Amino acid sequence: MSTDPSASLPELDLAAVSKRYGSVVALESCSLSMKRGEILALLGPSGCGKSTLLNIIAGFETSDTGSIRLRGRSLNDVPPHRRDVAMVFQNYALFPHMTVAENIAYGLYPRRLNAATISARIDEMLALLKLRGLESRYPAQVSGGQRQRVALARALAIQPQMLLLDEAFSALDRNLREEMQLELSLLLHRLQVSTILVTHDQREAFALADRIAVMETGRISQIGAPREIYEQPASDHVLQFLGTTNALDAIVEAEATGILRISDGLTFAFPPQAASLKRGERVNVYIRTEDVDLALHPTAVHTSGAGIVSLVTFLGAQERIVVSLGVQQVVIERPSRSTNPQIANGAAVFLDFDPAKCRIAAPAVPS
Amino acid sequence: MKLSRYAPWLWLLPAGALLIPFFLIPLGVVVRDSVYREDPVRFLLPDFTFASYARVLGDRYYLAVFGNTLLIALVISVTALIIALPFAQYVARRTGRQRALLLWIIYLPLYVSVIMRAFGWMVITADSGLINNALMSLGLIGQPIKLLYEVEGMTLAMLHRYLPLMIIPIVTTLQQLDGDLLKASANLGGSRWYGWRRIVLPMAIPGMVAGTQLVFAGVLSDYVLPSLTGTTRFAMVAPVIFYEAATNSAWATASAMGTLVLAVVALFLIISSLAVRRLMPWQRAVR
Repeated sequence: MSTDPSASLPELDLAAVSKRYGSVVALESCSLSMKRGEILALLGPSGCGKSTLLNIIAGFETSDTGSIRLRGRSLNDVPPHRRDVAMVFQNYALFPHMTVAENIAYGLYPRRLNAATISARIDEMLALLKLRGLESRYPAQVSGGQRQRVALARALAIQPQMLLLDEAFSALDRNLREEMQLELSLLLHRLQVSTILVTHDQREAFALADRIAVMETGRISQIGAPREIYEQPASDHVLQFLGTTNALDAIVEAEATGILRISDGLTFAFPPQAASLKRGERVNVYIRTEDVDLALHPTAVHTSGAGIVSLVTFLGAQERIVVSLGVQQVVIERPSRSTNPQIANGAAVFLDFDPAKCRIAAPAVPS
Repeated sequence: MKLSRYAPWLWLLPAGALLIPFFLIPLGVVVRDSVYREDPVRFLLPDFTFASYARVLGDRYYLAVFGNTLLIALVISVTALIIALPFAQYVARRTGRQRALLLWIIYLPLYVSVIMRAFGWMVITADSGLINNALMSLGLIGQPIKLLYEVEGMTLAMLHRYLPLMIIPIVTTLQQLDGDLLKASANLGGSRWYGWRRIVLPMAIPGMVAGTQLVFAGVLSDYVLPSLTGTTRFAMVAPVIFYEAATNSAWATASAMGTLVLAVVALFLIISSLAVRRLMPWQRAVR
């Protein structure tokens, strides 16, 4: 339907991008491809390479190998100021000696636009990001939330082919952050701006992204829609990184019946097909806090040996219960309904969960 | 309770103990002498008069001396600024050892007595000095260029003396420049030149003004280098003041000239500070 031939091409295409700093591998063969108007989150702990990848896309760093194409145009040898990708920096990097309007106009002058276009564009951005009335203030004279809006306005003013957000919400306090995330999500979808956001905050990734790429030690471990990566994590790392996940050490006691010993006299029974278990093998059982519930009697999975409630915390909409299983602990989070039976510290309880929601794997190599 | 109100001022006591008797009082004496009457026998008579000012400002010789000095101060300030800005930018971008080494090179001349440096420049700029010998042996000139005891040699020596005072404040301001600002500039499509013009240059203004103030005031009151490397055919104000006071015993005239230099420096500081306020309205926003 579109006459623009580039519309069928991926907006951004990274192929096998790698980067080393001396002997340290920062990125290892990262590939991804984005559609126009898509919002992609690079999610991972600090040092996973997500910021390096962003800097390579912006042109502040060069990749050792691999190719970067934006709307079919190779960016590998294009200097940063000719890339047409706009970045919102973690500290916003607003020009302190320029007013809000001058900051927004900064990228317009090098584009040789006429004065009328420039002032129209400034006006449009002021309206779009609700900055009217602040145009002649200096960055030091506006609030943190407004500063972020100025940074966004300055980036969007140049009508970039792609927007990059580098931990752009981390300087805001929680309420403001969630408000801005909602607003920005609506704005970006309305403007159809292809966006990559880098974050270590999974809530932020879930709040904004159409797809999430989970990164770990320079690799993209999984890429997919938020629900997909949450419900079908491709690796233990992805599982552990998303949501809050319990990890229990266990020893396989009977492989045919899938009995795992968590501690002396305390066992879980899994359907035999749940995992290929070898007797005497050490395994980890991963299960999300919201997938576990409590029972007062042995259940289909928790067959013998009660756990002891050691902490009950009320969190508003949720309650958190910590159950001790021998020396190990399981954290349970469930809606705090008043109909829940009251559970006191020291109560003997059993766990109930769907074995399908568990992941049984060889323990990660201790690092 | 009562002590705590005055306690912050106690920190100023050592500086005050030095400045008040040894700086402010002599300064007051100079200003007072400038309005006393000159007397051939008793040198100064306590008699209020602007006669010395009238003499200094009405005499073409004295006016030429002030003109010479202001011209040299201007030339050295501008030259120092042109040399210092790229150099400071280079230093500010270095890190670790390299920066320490470069800063040390800047500071090095300040560790050496100005007399030693003056003699050094005399060796370099003399008729049979380093520069002339080199140029002559290369066959570029037939006979020595007059440098020493000329305006040229003196300007060179003074430029060397005051250059560090221009570089250091600029390095300090440029070091405070957030590197992300230049990244942001490039990211928004700004070339290096555009980023330099719109970010580096305006942000360096406080350092440039501070450096110019130091250099300008320094050149205006320099005595040693004009005396040792300059010429009486292009007299500078500080040696002339010394001559009036020590040789002519014209203390009122000398005091009036000294007070005028002080006024020029004060005026310059006020004007340049006002200029900073005009050029950098954002500075007020930060505070």
